[in-house]
Amino acid sequence: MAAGKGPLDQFTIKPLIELDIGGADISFTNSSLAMLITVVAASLFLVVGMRRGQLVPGRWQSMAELGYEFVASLLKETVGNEGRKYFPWIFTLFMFILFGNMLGMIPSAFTFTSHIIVTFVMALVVFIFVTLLAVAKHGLRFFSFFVPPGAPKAMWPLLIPIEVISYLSRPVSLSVRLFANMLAGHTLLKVFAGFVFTLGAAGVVPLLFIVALTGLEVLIAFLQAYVFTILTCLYINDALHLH
Amino acid sequence: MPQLQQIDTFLSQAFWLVIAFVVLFLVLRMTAIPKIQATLEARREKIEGDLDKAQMFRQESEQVLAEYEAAIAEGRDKAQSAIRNASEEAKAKAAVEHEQLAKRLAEDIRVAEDRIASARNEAIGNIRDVAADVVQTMAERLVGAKINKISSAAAVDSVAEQKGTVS
Repeated sequence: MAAGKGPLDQFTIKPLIELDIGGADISFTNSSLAMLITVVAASLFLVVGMRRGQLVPGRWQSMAELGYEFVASLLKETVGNEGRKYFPWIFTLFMFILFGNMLGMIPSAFTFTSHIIVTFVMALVVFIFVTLLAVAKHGLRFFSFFVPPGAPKAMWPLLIPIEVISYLSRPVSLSVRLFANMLAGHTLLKVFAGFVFTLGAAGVVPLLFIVALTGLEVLIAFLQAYVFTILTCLYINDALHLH
Repeated sequence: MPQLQQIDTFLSQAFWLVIAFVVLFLVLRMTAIPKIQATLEARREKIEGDLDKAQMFRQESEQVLAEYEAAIAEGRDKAQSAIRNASEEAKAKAAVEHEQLAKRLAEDIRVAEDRIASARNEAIGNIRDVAADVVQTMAERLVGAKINKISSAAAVDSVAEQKGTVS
Protein backbone atom coordinates (compact mmCIF):
# COMPACT_ATOMS: atom_id res chain seq x y z
CA MET A 1 0.00 0.00 0.00
CA ALA A 2 1.08 3.52 -0.66
CA ALA A 3 2.68 5.42 2.19
CA GLY A 4 0.16 7.31 4.33
CA LYS A 5 -2.73 5.15 3.12
CA GLY A 6 -2.23 1.97 5.15
CA PRO A 7 -4.69 0.87 7.81
CA LEU A 8 -2.12 1.63 10.49
CA ASP A 9 -1.40 5.17 9.35
CA GLN A 10 -4.41 6.45 11.24
CA PHE A 11 -2.34 5.95 14.39
CA THR A 12 0.52 8.20 13.25
CA ILE A 13 1.40 10.95 15.70
CA LYS A 14 1.60 14.31 13.94
CA PRO A 15 2.96 17.29 15.82
CA LEU A 16 0.68 20.29 15.55
CA ILE A 17 2.67 22.73 17.68
CA GLU A 18 6.35 22.08 18.19
CA LEU A 19 7.28 22.43 21.86
CA ASP A 20 10.65 21.80 23.42
CA ILE A 21 11.50 22.21 27.08
CA GLY A 22 15.12 21.61 28.07
CA GLY A 23 15.69 19.36 25.08
CA ALA A 24 12.59 17.28 25.83
CA ASP A 25 10.09 17.10 22.96
CA ILE A 26 6.64 17.77 24.34
CA SER A 27 5.03 18.90 21.11
CA PHE A 28 1.29 19.38 21.05
CA THR A 29 0.23 16.61 18.67
CA ASN A 30 -2.99 15.19 17.18
CA SER A 31 -2.97 12.84 20.18
CA SER A 32 -2.78 15.82 22.55
CA LEU A 33 -5.61 17.47 20.63
CA ALA A 34 -7.76 14.32 21.01
CA MET A 35 -7.03 14.33 24.74
CA LEU A 36 -7.95 17.99 24.95
CA ILE A 37 -11.21 17.38 23.06
CA THR A 38 -11.91 14.44 25.39
CA VAL A 39 -11.39 16.62 28.46
CA VAL A 40 -13.62 19.36 27.05
CA ALA A 41 -16.33 16.92 25.93
CA ALA A 42 -16.39 14.97 29.21
CA SER A 43 -16.44 18.22 31.21
CA LEU A 44 -19.24 19.67 29.09
CA PHE A 45 -21.21 16.44 29.28
CA LEU A 46 -21.10 16.40 33.07
CA VAL A 47 -21.03 20.11 33.92
CA VAL A 48 -23.61 21.32 31.40
CA GLY A 49 -25.76 18.24 31.96
CA MET A 50 -25.87 19.02 35.68
CA ARG A 51 -26.16 22.81 35.35
CA ARG A 52 -29.72 22.91 36.65
CA GLY A 53 -29.43 20.05 39.13
CA GLN A 54 -33.14 19.34 38.93
CA LEU A 55 -34.82 16.99 41.35
CA VAL A 56 -36.58 15.39 38.39
CA PRO A 57 -33.77 15.11 35.86
CA GLY A 58 -34.07 15.67 32.14
CA ARG A 59 -32.52 13.34 29.60
CA TRP A 60 -29.06 14.87 29.66
CA GLN A 61 -28.94 15.17 33.44
CA SER A 62 -30.10 11.55 33.68
CA MET A 63 -27.17 10.43 31.56
CA ALA A 64 -24.69 12.41 33.66
CA GLU A 65 -26.16 10.96 36.85
CA LEU A 66 -26.20 7.50 35.29
CA GLY A 67 -22.44 7.77 34.63
CA TYR A 68 -21.86 8.87 38.21
CA GLU A 69 -23.99 6.15 39.74
CA PHE A 70 -22.51 3.52 37.44
CA VAL A 71 -18.99 4.23 38.68
CA ALA A 72 -20.15 4.76 42.25
CA SER A 73 -21.87 1.37 42.42
CA LEU A 74 -18.92 -0.27 40.65
CA LEU A 75 -16.57 1.10 43.31
CA LYS A 76 -18.93 0.21 46.14
CA GLU A 77 -19.37 -3.38 44.93
CA THR A 78 -15.68 -4.04 44.40
CA VAL A 79 -14.04 -2.04 47.21
CA GLY A 80 -16.87 -1.18 49.60
CA ASN A 81 -17.30 2.03 51.54
CA GLU A 82 -13.54 2.41 52.07
CA GLY A 83 -13.26 3.11 48.36
CA ARG A 84 -15.31 6.29 48.53
CA LYS A 85 -12.30 8.53 48.87
CA TYR A 86 -10.84 7.27 45.59
CA PHE A 87 -14.10 7.94 43.76
CA PRO A 88 -13.07 11.22 42.04
CA TRP A 89 -10.00 9.49 40.58
CA ILE A 90 -11.90 6.41 39.44
CA PHE A 91 -14.69 8.52 37.99
CA THR A 92 -12.20 10.68 36.10
CA LEU A 93 -10.42 7.57 34.84
CA PHE A 94 -13.66 6.04 33.57
CA MET A 95 -14.88 9.23 31.92
CA PHE A 96 -11.47 9.93 30.35
CA ILE A 97 -11.15 6.46 28.79
CA LEU A 98 -14.85 6.28 27.84
CA PHE A 99 -14.84 9.66 26.08
CA GLY A 100 -11.43 8.95 24.53
CA ASN A 101 -12.71 5.67 23.11
CA MET A 102 -16.09 7.06 22.03
CA LEU A 103 -14.71 10.18 20.36
CA GLY A 104 -12.23 7.91 18.59
CA MET A 105 -15.22 6.18 16.99
CA ILE A 106 -16.01 9.34 15.02
CA PRO A 107 -14.59 8.69 11.54
CA SER A 108 -11.17 10.30 10.99
CA ALA A 109 -10.89 11.18 14.68
CA PHE A 110 -7.73 10.20 16.52
CA THR A 111 -7.99 7.57 19.27
CA PHE A 112 -5.33 8.26 21.89
CA THR A 113 -6.23 5.08 23.81
CA SER A 114 -4.95 3.06 20.82
CA HIS A 115 -1.41 4.02 21.82
CA ILE A 116 0.43 1.65 24.12
CA ILE A 117 2.36 4.46 25.77
CA VAL A 118 -0.84 6.21 26.83
CA THR A 119 -2.50 3.10 28.23
CA PHE A 120 0.78 1.97 29.78
CA VAL A 121 1.30 5.25 31.60
CA MET A 122 -2.23 5.03 32.97
CA ALA A 123 -1.79 1.39 33.99
CA LEU A 124 1.61 2.12 35.51
CA VAL A 125 0.22 5.00 37.57
CA VAL A 126 -2.56 2.71 38.79
CA PHE A 127 -0.03 -0.02 39.57
CA ILE A 128 2.32 2.26 41.47
CA PHE A 129 -0.57 3.88 43.32
CA VAL A 130 -2.10 0.58 44.51
CA THR A 131 1.30 -0.80 45.48
CA LEU A 132 2.11 2.29 47.55
CA LEU A 133 -1.38 2.15 49.02
CA ALA A 134 -0.91 -1.47 50.06
CA VAL A 135 2.54 -0.85 51.54
CA ALA A 136 1.30 2.24 53.38
CA LYS A 137 -1.65 0.34 54.81
CA HIS A 138 -0.06 -3.02 55.61
CA GLY A 139 3.68 -2.31 55.81
CA LEU A 140 5.73 -5.49 55.43
CA ARG A 141 2.62 -7.62 55.69
CA PHE A 142 1.99 -6.50 52.10
CA PHE A 143 4.44 -9.19 50.99
CA SER A 144 2.17 -11.89 52.42
CA PHE A 145 0.01 -11.02 49.41
CA PHE A 146 2.37 -13.14 47.31
CA VAL A 147 1.73 -16.23 49.41
CA PRO A 148 -1.60 -17.83 48.54
CA PRO A 149 -3.50 -18.51 51.77
CA GLY A 150 -3.65 -22.16 52.76
CA ALA A 151 -0.88 -23.23 50.39
CA PRO A 152 1.52 -25.81 51.86
CA LYS A 153 5.03 -24.46 52.62
CA ALA A 154 6.59 -26.93 50.22
CA MET A 155 4.77 -25.22 47.37
CA TRP A 156 5.98 -21.71 48.29
CA PRO A 157 9.12 -21.71 46.13
CA LEU A 158 6.89 -22.41 43.14
CA LEU A 159 3.88 -20.26 44.06
CA ILE A 160 5.64 -17.10 45.22
CA PRO A 161 7.44 -16.44 41.90
CA ILE A 162 4.17 -17.06 40.04
CA GLU A 163 2.32 -14.62 42.28
CA VAL A 164 5.08 -12.01 41.95
CA ILE A 165 5.13 -12.33 38.16
CA SER A 166 1.35 -12.14 37.96
CA TYR A 167 1.42 -9.05 40.18
CA LEU A 168 4.13 -7.38 38.11
CA SER A 169 2.34 -8.20 34.87
CA ARG A 170 -0.76 -6.33 36.00
CA PRO A 171 0.21 -3.00 34.40
CA VAL A 172 1.18 -4.83 31.20
CA SER A 173 -2.08 -6.74 30.89
CA LEU A 174 -4.11 -3.70 31.94
CA SER A 175 -2.51 -1.46 29.33
CA VAL A 176 -2.24 -4.01 26.51
CA ARG A 177 -5.90 -5.00 26.88
CA LEU A 178 -7.16 -1.48 26.19
CA PHE A 179 -4.50 -0.67 23.60
CA ALA A 180 -4.94 -3.91 21.66
CA ASN A 181 -8.72 -3.68 21.58
CA MET A 182 -8.63 -0.15 20.25
CA LEU A 183 -5.83 -0.92 17.80
CA ALA A 184 -7.52 -4.04 16.44
CA GLY A 185 -10.95 -2.44 16.11
CA HIS A 186 -9.77 0.64 14.30
CA THR A 187 -7.41 -1.30 12.06
CA LEU A 188 -10.18 -3.71 11.10
CA LEU A 189 -12.52 -0.83 10.28
CA LYS A 190 -9.85 0.76 8.12
CA VAL A 191 -9.06 -2.52 6.31
CA PHE A 192 -12.71 -3.03 5.43
CA ALA A 193 -13.06 0.62 4.49
CA GLY A 194 -10.25 -0.02 1.97
CA PHE A 195 -12.20 -2.97 0.53
CA VAL A 196 -15.24 -0.73 -0.05
CA PHE A 197 -13.27 1.30 -2.61
CA THR A 198 -11.29 -1.50 -4.22
CA LEU A 199 -14.36 -3.74 -4.75
CA GLY A 200 -16.42 -1.07 -6.53
CA ALA A 201 -20.13 -1.96 -6.64
CA ALA A 202 -19.55 -5.11 -4.57
CA GLY A 203 -18.13 -2.80 -1.93
CA VAL A 204 -21.63 -2.65 -0.44
CA VAL A 205 -20.85 -5.93 1.33
CA PRO A 206 -17.86 -4.65 3.32
CA LEU A 207 -19.76 -1.40 3.83
CA LEU A 208 -22.57 -3.27 5.57
CA PHE A 209 -19.93 -5.14 7.53
CA ILE A 210 -18.42 -1.83 8.63
CA VAL A 211 -21.81 -0.64 9.83
CA ALA A 212 -22.21 -3.75 11.99
CA LEU A 213 -18.57 -3.55 13.12
CA THR A 214 -18.99 0.08 14.13
CA GLY A 215 -21.81 -0.96 16.46
CA LEU A 216 -19.58 -3.64 17.94
CA GLU A 217 -16.71 -1.16 18.32
CA VAL A 218 -18.96 1.28 20.20
CA LEU A 219 -19.78 -1.56 22.57
CA ILE A 220 -16.08 -2.41 22.92
CA ALA A 221 -15.26 1.27 23.49
CA PHE A 222 -17.61 1.25 26.48
CA LEU A 223 -16.63 -2.23 27.61
CA GLN A 224 -12.90 -1.50 27.69
CA ALA A 225 -13.44 1.68 29.69
CA TYR A 226 -15.51 -0.42 32.09
CA VAL A 227 -12.90 -3.18 32.25
CA PHE A 228 -10.04 -0.76 32.90
CA THR A 229 -12.07 0.88 35.66
CA ILE A 230 -13.25 -2.29 37.36
CA LEU A 231 -9.74 -3.79 37.30
CA THR A 232 -8.42 -0.62 38.90
CA CYS A 233 -11.12 -0.97 41.57
CA LEU A 234 -10.18 -4.62 42.12
CA TYR A 235 -6.51 -3.69 42.48
CA ILE A 236 -7.46 -1.06 45.05
CA ASN A 237 -9.53 -3.69 46.85
CA ASP A 238 -6.52 -6.05 46.85
CA ALA A 239 -4.34 -3.26 48.21
CA LEU A 240 -6.78 -2.50 51.01
CA HIS A 241 -7.67 -6.05 52.00
CA LEU A 242 -4.76 -8.08 50.58
CA HIS A 243 -6.44 -11.45 50.08
CA MET B 1 3.10 0.26 13.74
CA PRO B 2 3.36 3.93 14.74
CA GLN B 3 2.66 2.98 18.35
CA LEU B 4 6.02 1.27 18.60
CA GLN B 5 7.94 3.20 15.93
CA GLN B 6 7.35 6.79 17.04
CA ILE B 7 9.17 6.32 20.31
CA ASP B 8 10.31 9.94 20.17
CA THR B 9 6.68 11.00 20.73
CA PHE B 10 6.30 8.94 23.92
CA LEU B 11 7.34 11.77 26.19
CA SER B 12 4.97 14.21 24.53
CA GLN B 13 2.08 11.74 24.75
CA ALA B 14 2.74 10.94 28.40
CA PHE B 15 3.15 14.64 29.20
CA TRP B 16 -0.13 15.65 27.57
CA LEU B 17 -1.86 12.60 29.03
CA VAL B 18 -0.93 13.69 32.54
CA ILE B 19 -1.95 17.30 31.81
CA ALA B 20 -5.27 16.27 30.28
CA PHE B 21 -6.06 13.77 33.03
CA VAL B 22 -5.24 16.19 35.83
CA VAL B 23 -7.26 18.97 34.17
CA LEU B 24 -10.25 16.65 33.78
CA PHE B 25 -9.83 15.49 37.37
CA LEU B 26 -9.78 19.06 38.67
CA VAL B 27 -12.78 20.08 36.58
CA LEU B 28 -14.84 17.10 37.72
CA ARG B 29 -13.63 17.34 41.32
CA MET B 30 -14.50 21.04 41.53
CA THR B 31 -17.77 21.17 39.62
CA ALA B 32 -19.50 18.06 38.34
CA ILE B 33 -18.92 15.59 41.20
CA PRO B 34 -20.10 17.85 44.05
CA LYS B 35 -23.03 18.99 41.93
CA ILE B 36 -24.12 15.43 41.16
CA GLN B 37 -23.60 14.42 44.79
CA ALA B 38 -25.68 17.37 46.00
CA THR B 39 -28.42 16.63 43.47
CA LEU B 40 -28.60 12.94 44.35
CA GLU B 41 -28.54 13.76 48.05
CA ALA B 42 -31.29 16.35 47.64
CA ARG B 43 -33.38 13.86 45.68
CA ARG B 44 -32.85 11.16 48.28
CA GLU B 45 -33.83 13.55 51.08
CA LYS B 46 -36.84 14.77 49.12
CA ILE B 47 -38.01 11.21 48.47
CA GLU B 48 -37.48 10.20 52.08
CA GLY B 49 -39.24 13.35 53.27
CA ASP B 50 -42.13 12.69 50.93
CA LEU B 51 -42.34 9.09 52.12
CA ASP B 52 -42.35 10.24 55.73
CA LYS B 53 -45.01 12.79 54.93
CA ALA B 54 -47.07 10.20 53.11
CA GLN B 55 -46.73 7.86 56.08
CA MET B 56 -47.87 10.67 58.40
CA PHE B 57 -50.84 11.49 56.19
CA ARG B 58 -51.75 7.85 56.04
CA GLN B 59 -51.73 7.53 59.81
CA GLU B 60 -53.79 10.69 60.07
CA SER B 61 -56.30 9.43 57.55
CA GLU B 62 -56.49 6.09 59.32
CA GLN B 63 -57.21 7.91 62.56
CA VAL B 64 -59.89 10.01 60.90
CA LEU B 65 -61.39 6.88 59.40
CA ALA B 66 -61.45 5.19 62.81
CA GLU B 67 -63.13 8.25 64.32
CA TYR B 68 -65.63 8.34 61.50
CA GLU B 69 -66.42 4.66 61.91
CA ALA B 70 -66.83 5.11 65.66
CA ALA B 71 -69.18 8.05 65.03
CA ILE B 72 -71.18 5.99 62.57
CA ALA B 73 -71.43 3.09 65.01
CA GLU B 74 -72.49 5.44 67.77
CA GLY B 75 -75.09 7.04 65.50
CA ARG B 76 -76.40 3.64 64.51
CA ASP B 77 -76.71 2.61 68.16
CA LYS B 78 -78.50 5.86 68.98
CA ALA B 79 -80.85 5.43 66.05
CA GLN B 80 -81.61 1.84 67.00
CA SER B 81 -82.31 2.71 70.63
CA ALA B 82 -84.48 5.61 69.48
CA ILE B 83 -86.42 3.27 67.22
CA ARG B 84 -86.78 0.76 70.03
CA ASN B 85 -87.98 3.43 72.47
CA ALA B 86 -90.42 4.84 69.95
CA SER B 87 -91.81 1.43 69.08
CA GLU B 88 -92.15 0.49 72.75
CA GLU B 89 -93.88 3.76 73.48
CA ALA B 90 -96.18 3.27 70.53
CA LYS B 91 -96.94 -0.30 71.64
CA ALA B 92 -97.72 0.83 75.17
CA LYS B 93 -99.92 3.61 73.89
CA ALA B 94 -101.68 1.26 71.51
CA ALA B 95 -102.23 -1.26 74.33
CA VAL B 96 -103.75 1.46 76.56
CA GLU B 97 -105.97 2.66 73.75
CA HIS B 98 -106.93 -0.88 72.88
CA GLU B 99 -107.90 -1.54 76.49
CA GLN B 100 -109.92 1.65 76.73
CA LEU B 101 -111.66 0.89 73.46
CA ALA B 102 -112.35 -2.67 74.58
CA LYS B 103 -113.80 -1.36 77.87
CA ARG B 104 -115.99 1.16 76.09
CA LEU B 105 -117.13 -1.46 73.61
CA ALA B 106 -117.89 -3.90 76.43
CA GLU B 107 -119.86 -1.17 78.17
CA ASP B 108 -121.75 -0.42 74.95
CA ILE B 109 -122.39 -4.14 74.45
CA ARG B 110 -123.64 -4.47 78.00
CA VAL B 111 -125.94 -1.46 77.62
CA ALA B 112 -127.22 -2.79 74.33
CA GLU B 113 -127.75 -6.27 75.76
CA ASP B 114 -129.61 -4.78 78.73
CA ARG B 115 -131.77 -2.81 76.37
CA ILE B 116 -132.40 -5.93 74.29
CA ALA B 117 -133.20 -7.97 77.40
CA SER B 118 -135.59 -5.38 78.75
CA ALA B 119 -137.17 -5.04 75.31
CA ARG B 120 -137.59 -8.79 75.17
CA ASN B 121 -139.02 -9.02 78.64
CA GLU B 122 -141.35 -6.21 77.73
CA ALA B 123 -142.30 -8.04 74.54
CA ILE B 124 -142.81 -11.30 76.41
CA GLY B 125 -144.91 -9.50 78.96
CA ASN B 126 -147.00 -7.96 76.21
CA ILE B 127 -147.41 -11.37 74.59
CA ARG B 128 -148.83 -12.72 77.91
CA ASP B 129 -151.30 -9.91 78.12
CA VAL B 130 -152.29 -10.39 74.50
CA ALA B 131 -152.56 -14.19 75.03
CA ALA B 132 -154.67 -13.65 78.17
CA ASP B 133 -156.92 -11.31 76.21
CA VAL B 134 -157.14 -13.88 73.39
CA VAL B 135 -157.93 -16.64 75.92
CA GLN B 136 -160.67 -14.48 77.56
CA THR B 137 -162.22 -13.52 74.23
CA MET B 138 -162.09 -17.05 72.80
CA ALA B 139 -163.57 -18.57 75.94
CA GLU B 140 -166.43 -16.06 75.77
CA ARG B 141 -167.09 -16.60 72.10
CA LEU B 142 -166.68 -20.38 72.05
CA VAL B 143 -168.21 -21.43 75.28
CA GLY B 144 -169.77 -18.25 76.49
CA ALA B 145 -167.81 -18.47 79.70
CA LYS B 146 -166.74 -15.35 81.27
CA ILE B 147 -163.24 -15.63 82.58
CA ASN B 148 -161.67 -12.86 84.43
CA LYS B 149 -158.34 -11.51 83.40
CA ILE B 150 -156.38 -12.98 86.26
CA SER B 151 -157.35 -16.59 85.62
CA SER B 152 -156.79 -16.31 81.86
CA ALA B 153 -153.33 -14.96 82.56
CA ALA B 154 -152.66 -17.86 84.91
CA ALA B 155 -153.77 -20.28 82.19
CA VAL B 156 -151.43 -18.71 79.68
CA ASP B 157 -148.58 -18.88 82.19
CA SER B 158 -149.20 -22.56 82.94
CA VAL B 159 -149.26 -23.41 79.20
CA ALA B 160 -146.17 -21.36 78.65
CA GLU B 161 -144.44 -23.23 81.47
CA GLN B 162 -145.41 -26.59 79.93
CA LYS B 163 -144.14 -25.61 76.48
CA GLY B 164 -140.93 -24.05 77.79
CA THR B 165 -139.89 -20.56 77.23
CA VAL B 166 -141.41 -18.55 74.43
CA SER B 167 -138.20 -17.71 72.83
